[in-house]
Amino acid sequence: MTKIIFLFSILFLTGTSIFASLTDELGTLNYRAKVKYVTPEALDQVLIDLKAVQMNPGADSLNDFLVMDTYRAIASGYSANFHFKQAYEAFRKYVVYKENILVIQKEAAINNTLSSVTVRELLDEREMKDRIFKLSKLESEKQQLEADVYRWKRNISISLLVLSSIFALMLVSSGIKLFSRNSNISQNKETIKRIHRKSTIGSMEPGLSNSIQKTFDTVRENTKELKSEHANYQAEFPYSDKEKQVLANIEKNLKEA
Amino acid sequence: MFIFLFLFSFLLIHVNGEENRNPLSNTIHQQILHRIDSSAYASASVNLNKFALEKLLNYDRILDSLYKAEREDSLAFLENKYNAGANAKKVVIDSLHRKINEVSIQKSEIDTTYKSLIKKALFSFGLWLLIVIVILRFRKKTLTKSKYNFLKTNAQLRSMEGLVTKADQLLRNIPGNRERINKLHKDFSLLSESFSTGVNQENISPAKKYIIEKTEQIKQKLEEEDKINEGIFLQLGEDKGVFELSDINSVCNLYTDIAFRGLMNDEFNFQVTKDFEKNLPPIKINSAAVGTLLLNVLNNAFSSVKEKSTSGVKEYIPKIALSTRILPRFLQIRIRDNGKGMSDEVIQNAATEFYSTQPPGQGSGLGLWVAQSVAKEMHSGEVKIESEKGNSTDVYIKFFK
Repeated sequence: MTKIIFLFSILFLTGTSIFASLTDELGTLNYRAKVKYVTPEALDQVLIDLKAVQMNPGADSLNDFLVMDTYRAIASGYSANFHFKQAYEAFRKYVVYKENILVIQKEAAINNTLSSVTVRELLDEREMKDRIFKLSKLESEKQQLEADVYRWKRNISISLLVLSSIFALMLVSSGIKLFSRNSNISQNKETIKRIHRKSTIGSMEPGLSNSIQKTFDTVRENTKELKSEHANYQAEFPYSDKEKQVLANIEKNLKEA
Repeated sequence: MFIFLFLFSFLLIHVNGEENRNPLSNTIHQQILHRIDSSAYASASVNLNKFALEKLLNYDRILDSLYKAEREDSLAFLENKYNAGANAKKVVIDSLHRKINEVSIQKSEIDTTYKSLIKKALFSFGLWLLIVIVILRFRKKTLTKSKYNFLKTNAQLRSMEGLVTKADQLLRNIPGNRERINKLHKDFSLLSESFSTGVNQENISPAKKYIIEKTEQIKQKLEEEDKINEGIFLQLGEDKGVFELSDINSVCNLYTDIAFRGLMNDEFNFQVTKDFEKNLPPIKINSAAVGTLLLNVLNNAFSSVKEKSTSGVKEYIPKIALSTRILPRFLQIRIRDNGKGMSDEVIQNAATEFYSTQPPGQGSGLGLWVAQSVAKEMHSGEVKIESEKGNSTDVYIKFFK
């Protein structure tokens, strides 16, 4: 791993040093082409040196600019020295180079636009998909909510119905119970009314029975008293046979009572 | 079209090699430049290099402007193409957005409805529950009251059935007792007759007189007893609804005696005073019914004095007074007791059937109702109660002339 990192570091440093030296070289050539009162020989040498420079057109815009500017400076230098043929050729090189660069730039611009369009299309697609997903999610949530409302309504209705039924049954059963009880109460009251007179006397029964017995006791006492009183005057008022018979009957009756 | 040109030029560049690559894709533009280039070549080939250079400079300028225009066109074409698609998508996205908003609103409405439904349902359920609780409480109260009334009337009925059994027993004994009383009365009549035969009332000895008087007293006692038994028998038998001219004093006397005998016992005693109007004209009444009336009122008076007596009032002597009076418009029986008295509320409800201040199973709550019925419905009379709470009660029974 460290070896790979080391290798890449070396490659990177080499690459940067190459690019740096290429730009410097091109800069030097550009400078040399733009020297005041430059001689055609110097320009020939610059052209030769420029041709010798190994470079990839379109790889670096500064280098490309330096190349094209150098060609233009060379053409201008030749022209200033009245070497129009060399100027024409240098300028043609510039045109060819420029055309190549423009092709690359155009491709890059189109590619950039295309990739930007693709990215935007992708973003649009994604947005659309997001919206569709959101809509579908919302629809699903809405349906779920509707189902919940329906289920809730149904459950509440069933619960209320069941509870009301139980309650109604309770009331009906209570009503029947109450009706039956009231009917019994009415029957009892009617019976009470019917037997009230008798029961009033019934409540006096011990006293009344006792009083009759007391009457008989009193009569018994009085009869005894009468007999004993009569016995005192037996000689004066002797009992007749009939009276004896009646007294015997009285005693018998009182004994039975 | 532009795409086609672009691809065509791209193909040309690649076929002819890098040196020949053309940044322009429009053939007209290419021809324009080609013409300038050819002219420059032509000039150069005849050594008119300055002209060739100038033409090439011109070529460069035109290349710049054409390239710029083409590049912009190509990019604009791509942008437009994208925009065309993007617009279509935007329409769809907008429509989706609207739809999302719509569904969101619908969902929100459903949610609001749901919440409102829950609130309403909870409120309704609460109300329902409240009504149910109120009804259940009312039901419980009603059932408890009805159960209490049922048990009360049941206890009352059982108690009264026991009394009826006793009354029936009394009824069974009455004929035998009356027969015995009648026999005794007959025998004592014979004895009295025998004792009185040949006796001179002026020269009668005290002993004989005593014996005759004693016999007469026994006869009278037996007559009274027979009347009482007859009265009891009338009360226990079926009321035939016979109205006949009767002496109110006799009726009052008889039923006061019955009540006195029935209610008096060894444990509790009370004073009864009678104050009957002399020469009271006979009136047409149902004696048995009036007897029932008197027994009920006397029974109440007895309960009142007994309750006051048992409540431990010092130096209390229970008294019940019965009087009759003839007044201009009516004949009046007044029964007064010095018992516990009645409150105004009790007086107001006294004649209501089954209204009783006694504990269940003791008072039937029919006494004064029966009295009122007998007086009002059978005799077009009236029962009026006046009372002083804690001191006395006066019951006025009025028979209108």
